Amino acid sequence: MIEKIILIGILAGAVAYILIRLKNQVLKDNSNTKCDQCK
Amino acid sequence: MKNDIKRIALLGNPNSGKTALFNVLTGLNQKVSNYPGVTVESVTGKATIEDEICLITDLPGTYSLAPESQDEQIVAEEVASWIVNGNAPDCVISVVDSTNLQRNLYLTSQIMDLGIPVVVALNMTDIAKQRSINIDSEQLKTELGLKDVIEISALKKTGIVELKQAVYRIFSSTSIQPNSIQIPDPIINIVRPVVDWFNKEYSISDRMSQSLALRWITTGSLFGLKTPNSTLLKSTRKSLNQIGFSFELLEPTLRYAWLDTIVPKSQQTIKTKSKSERMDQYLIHPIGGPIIFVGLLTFIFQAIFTWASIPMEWIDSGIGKVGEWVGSILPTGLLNDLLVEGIIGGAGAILIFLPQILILIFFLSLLEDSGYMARVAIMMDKAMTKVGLHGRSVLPLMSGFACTIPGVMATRTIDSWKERLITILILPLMSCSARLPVYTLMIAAFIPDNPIFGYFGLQGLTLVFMYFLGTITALILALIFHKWINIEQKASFVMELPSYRVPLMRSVFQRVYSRGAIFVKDAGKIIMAISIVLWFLASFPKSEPGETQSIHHSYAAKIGQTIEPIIKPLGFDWKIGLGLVTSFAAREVVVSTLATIYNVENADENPVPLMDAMKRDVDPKTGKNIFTPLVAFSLMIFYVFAAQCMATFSIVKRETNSWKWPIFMVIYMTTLAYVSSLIVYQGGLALGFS
Repeated sequence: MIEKIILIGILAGAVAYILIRLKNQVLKDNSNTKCDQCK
Repeated sequence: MKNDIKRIALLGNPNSGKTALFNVLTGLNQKVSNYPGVTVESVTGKATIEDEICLITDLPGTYSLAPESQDEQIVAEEVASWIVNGNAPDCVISVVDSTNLQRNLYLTSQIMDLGIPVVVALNMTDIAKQRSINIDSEQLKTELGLKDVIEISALKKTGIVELKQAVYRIFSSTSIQPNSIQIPDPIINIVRPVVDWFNKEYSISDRMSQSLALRWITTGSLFGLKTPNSTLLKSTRKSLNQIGFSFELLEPTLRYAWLDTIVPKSQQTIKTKSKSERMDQYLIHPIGGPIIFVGLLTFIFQAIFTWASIPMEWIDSGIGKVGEWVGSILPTGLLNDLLVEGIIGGAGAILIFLPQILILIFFLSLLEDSGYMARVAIMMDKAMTKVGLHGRSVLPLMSGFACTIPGVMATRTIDSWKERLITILILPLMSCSARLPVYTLMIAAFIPDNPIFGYFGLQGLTLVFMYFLGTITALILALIFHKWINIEQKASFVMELPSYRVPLMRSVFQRVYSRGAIFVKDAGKIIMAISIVLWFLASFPKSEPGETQSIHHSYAAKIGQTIEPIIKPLGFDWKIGLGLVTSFAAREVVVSTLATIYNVENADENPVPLMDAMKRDVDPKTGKNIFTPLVAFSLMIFYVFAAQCMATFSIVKRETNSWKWPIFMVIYMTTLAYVSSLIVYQGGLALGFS
């Protein structure tokens, strides 16, 4: 049970991170936009 | 409202060493290099001047306060805001390249007219001496009427203490700098109404009003400032013409006339052919130059393969050992699988390519810092003119080999909007370092390592081919866009050639280190996040008891199989299709995506070497290999052209200030990628390749 909770937590964190990043990069006109290769 | 923190602005010509000085004063690590136009936006940092914390702003380089390009416009607008808002800095450090004193002092004289205390930092005096240029800084100080002219070397960090002391003295001084240029009476009589207008409009000194009036009459515009009506402009220009004075040259003529009286008294020059000029006889020779350039690039791409192989093996075996160790200490179960198959196997697979990226960045930094890249721009000018661009586009395009984003930013140095737009649109076709893992994975797995011309092998040459394919296509498209985009342009290309310098290894390694750190951190964030999600998608739903667990029934397979019909004609299966989708986050994610899927599929030997898994993967329906040399080639061609980078999309939107161009870019690049891959794969099949 604990293992399942940890797994779901990790998955939720990963999905949230991807969504936030997408939002920051595309939807928001972020003047500090930089790609991962060149920050 | 002014606060107590003193503010300092760094102003100077492009490539005069402002950013190098900024880094020394603030301890920051802004990019410095040896070509004009490295800094294209202003950056502020903190520095301590004699126990006082100050804010220092590094502005883009400019030859004058009358801007030609967007980066120069940033400076003009900043200066205009000082006048309009009365928030001028407490001191300007005018960074002057000693090897070209007169031209650099042109900007200094414009800054002095602003009435802001100025300290001249005479940079690169060591290089000037090597070229038999001796500058008497004391004499120059007297001639300019300034409090301090300090000899420094920003790279060697000499003269910095004296410069700080001079700035500190300025803070506590109240005296005004004397007048600079002398305007003859007949001219001052004509321009007087304009001077009075500025005087009244902004309540500024007569000297500053004169300076603005001269610039406005010469150029017809002043960025960020109100100007008198056009009738006054026309009548003033007409009156100047009547006394035989060309209005277009009004400001330069007056300033250079003043500098002509100052500079010879402060500088002694013995004209000899410099080392740089001698080297240029060969390096920018019309025939020899391009041959040397192509040879250098080929050497670099071959070195990426040869030199990186040993550290790559170390990282590969290191990741394997970490995977085994983590797998052995954790109890068997889903968490163990997620860590070993998803995170270590997936995100870890991308770390193997770190040495290759570092070697690429190392060589690109050497070429930039030595001053060679600026020569490439000059050499390519003729070829670029044929496709509707100029040599000025070459430096942004070359920096696109490292990453598209700084390349797009660097286009701010291009004065014509049409030329700038075309350069932005073709920039993503220059293979960036994120494509390197994709190319080298496919090449190492499917292209034999046959030697061809001694040092050069087939693998290295295939990599060179991919880079040249992107570049040549970019130039062809530039020609098409040039004819198609209907915008009027004023085009000019004048670039000062920097002297050749031995690259400062500290600066080169700093850049290599920061790129490496970002790459590793990236693996720790977005690639890991995607690997985690993919692991879930590839591992679930779990099969019923008694059935064999197969990845072909997973959610990942279902998503991939939905895409498969579209990409099947290119030779790609659902696993590659999934990689094409995830690589929109960053191109190299396709590698970690494949690694995660193969790790889940081969759960009994984790982490599985990606290349081996790709080679032995077969289609369960046909029994044929999924990856063949033809599929690998088709995939590489796809990645040369495809627009898979969110960050590029975003920066193009920002720099073009519209959605139209980034959307156009994605459509044309995706179409190009699809059609090219289709031709390669179907053509290959028709020719009998498998």
